[in-house]
Amino acid sequence: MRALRRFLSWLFNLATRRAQEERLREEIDGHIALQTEEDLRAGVSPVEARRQAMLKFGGVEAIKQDCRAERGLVFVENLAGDCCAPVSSIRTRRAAGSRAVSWTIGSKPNANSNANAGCFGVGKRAAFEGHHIGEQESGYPTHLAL
Amino acid sequence: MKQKTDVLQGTLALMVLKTLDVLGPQHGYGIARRIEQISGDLLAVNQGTLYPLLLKLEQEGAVTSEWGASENNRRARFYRLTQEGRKQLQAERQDWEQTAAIIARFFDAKAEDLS
Repeated sequence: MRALRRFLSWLFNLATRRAQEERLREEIDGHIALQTEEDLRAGVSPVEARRQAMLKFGGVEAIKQDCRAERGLVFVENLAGDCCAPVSSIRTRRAAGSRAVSWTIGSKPNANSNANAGCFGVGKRAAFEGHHIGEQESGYPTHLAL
Repeated sequence: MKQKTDVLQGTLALMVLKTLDVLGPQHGYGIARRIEQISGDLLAVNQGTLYPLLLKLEQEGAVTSEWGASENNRRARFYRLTQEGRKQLQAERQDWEQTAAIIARFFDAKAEDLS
């Protein structure tokens, strides 16, 4: 029965994750504001009162993380992070690759061009133009360039 | 100047439940202040640690919460002890009294009593 209640509670937490994050943020802000007001009444300067209130409260991000762990959502967030990070990384690499290729398409590789330009230039010609590539032509050993 | 002691592991829940039992519905800041006051300012409560605990107690059904207005008309979340929470408080109180009694026996023990 307790396990069922915890599971239903977990599902509810998952569905209302954003609302609960907002609730926690509002609660923490309210708490720090109340402590700041009390210190202000005691004659402390506004900046110092706020600083003291933050110190008394402790690390806000750590507490938010503890609350997420309590709601059992850390696993879901980690899973989402694990799934999103590779996709984002592939997108970034693809975008960087297409930028580099478009840059080398317009330029002629010569003996003074850098390694990246040479590699992309040779790669592009091998892939799209079907030319034979010799070591002298590319300026780089073929097995390294490809 | 008085030396402040850190809250012992596992005792904060008991303090929160007892505070809500005695004072009725309170917001997080109110609970933290009352705990400090009741302890005679001897306890150093890291106030933020109350929130994961309040969430845990709420998920266990020991407390419920709702939005309300604080004494200076600021919106605050008020926590209230439930029937389940009263039972939990009673059980935890018995556990602590038993533990305290056992420790007291160790402090009072003399060599001749044990021979």
